[in-house]
Amino acid sequence: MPSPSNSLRAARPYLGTLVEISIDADLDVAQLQTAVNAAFSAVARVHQLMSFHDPDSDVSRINRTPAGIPIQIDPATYEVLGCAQRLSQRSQGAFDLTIAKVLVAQGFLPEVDPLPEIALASYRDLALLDAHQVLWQRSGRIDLGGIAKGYAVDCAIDVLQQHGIPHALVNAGGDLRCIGRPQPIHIRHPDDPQQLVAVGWLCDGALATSAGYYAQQPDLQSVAQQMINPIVDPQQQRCLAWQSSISVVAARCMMADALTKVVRLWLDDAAPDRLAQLLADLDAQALLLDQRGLASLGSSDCLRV
Amino acid sequence: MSQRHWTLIPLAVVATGAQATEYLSADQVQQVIFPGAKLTPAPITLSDEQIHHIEQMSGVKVPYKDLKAWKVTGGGWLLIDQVIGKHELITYAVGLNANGSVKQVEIMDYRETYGYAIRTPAWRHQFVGKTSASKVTLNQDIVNISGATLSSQHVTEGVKRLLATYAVALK
Repeated sequence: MPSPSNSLRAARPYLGTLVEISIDADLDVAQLQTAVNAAFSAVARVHQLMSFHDPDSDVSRINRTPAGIPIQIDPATYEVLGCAQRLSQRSQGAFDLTIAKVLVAQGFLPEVDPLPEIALASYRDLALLDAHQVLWQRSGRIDLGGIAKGYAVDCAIDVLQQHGIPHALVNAGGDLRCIGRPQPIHIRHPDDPQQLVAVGWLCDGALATSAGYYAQQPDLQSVAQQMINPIVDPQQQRCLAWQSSISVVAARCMMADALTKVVRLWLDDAAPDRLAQLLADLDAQALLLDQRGLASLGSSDCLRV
Repeated sequence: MSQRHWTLIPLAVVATGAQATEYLSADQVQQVIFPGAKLTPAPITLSDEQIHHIEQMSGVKVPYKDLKAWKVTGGGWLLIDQVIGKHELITYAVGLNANGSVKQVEIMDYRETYGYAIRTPAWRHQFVGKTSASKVTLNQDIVNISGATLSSQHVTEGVKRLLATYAVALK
């Protein structure tokens, strides 16, 4: 006879946001707690490796190493950089990790060690070598703020699966993924974040949202000082205003998280087909929520209405 | 036209009002951070001088004189505190090891506050009279919300303040 299932829900502060884990399994509460602790440890490890602020993180070590010197990094960081680079190539640079200097200049990220030269590096200048080493061909600075939360969610889900948890949801400040039982998902309306919009049921998949309502500030580099958000147009090297809410559904949260930035940049694009094509290639679906309502592009098996 | 591939989905607005989530009670959080340990209540009231010292040390303003604290048999402390952000009110617990280092931080409850700058308060009128095509039931508990990242900066500052409180008042 199956034992009654137990559930557990907990939240801890990591990656600059609150990370929430909810699980449900035919296990006793102590076993559930062990699984949740292990999943949070995985998130904490991503936080430690990929923090822009922590001088001992892989990201900080990469950022302070001059061009031409190989840098040994953790396989996890290497995996994220590899995924980011592939997406940079596929999006012709719309996704680019080397935008940290713009975020620093606008005060979204703290000033760290000044670079010895004016850094104009793009993703093409960070070479991924064998044996988990990377090397700047031209000095630059990366920030993983647009991808690490999604990766951390994936890591937490992996750990929960290893602990035999059949039903789980991990939500890192809006970047979320579930396994097992389908989960009803709501998105905050960007014009009034207290209003929630139902988008359907997420089934063994991930959904990440980017929007500007929590993080806008005046543009420090323009006289007009219009409100901008911590999303950078890599080609223009400037922060954009982000009035709408953009969500992406994909199998893995790392991809969903990163793709929200590409969707934002390609929304007003002159070549409309390429966004649809990219989403189709990656089995991803984009949701756009703004004053006009909710719109969808592409389709994903992970989302059912 | 970049929008020509996008298809409109009927909108189902399901919640008005602030969200609140309770994760752990004060009893539960003791067992989560210090499983099996014996905890003795040891509430603290900080003096003005201590508050000044804590603020200087942490660079964070001390909002309350009173602090909910428990002493762990065999060493360590459990502290329960609250922080108020622009959008949120968070109660959280910090477990300290016997040497004063952080053992664990757990969010106990989270409440939204009314700090938003609503750009177009009239937007919701457009949905009046529309029905939802979504099978998401409207009266069901809202548990999974996706949105822009909410900063945990206030919790981080709170932990910093509690570490200074430990150094000044509990050590």
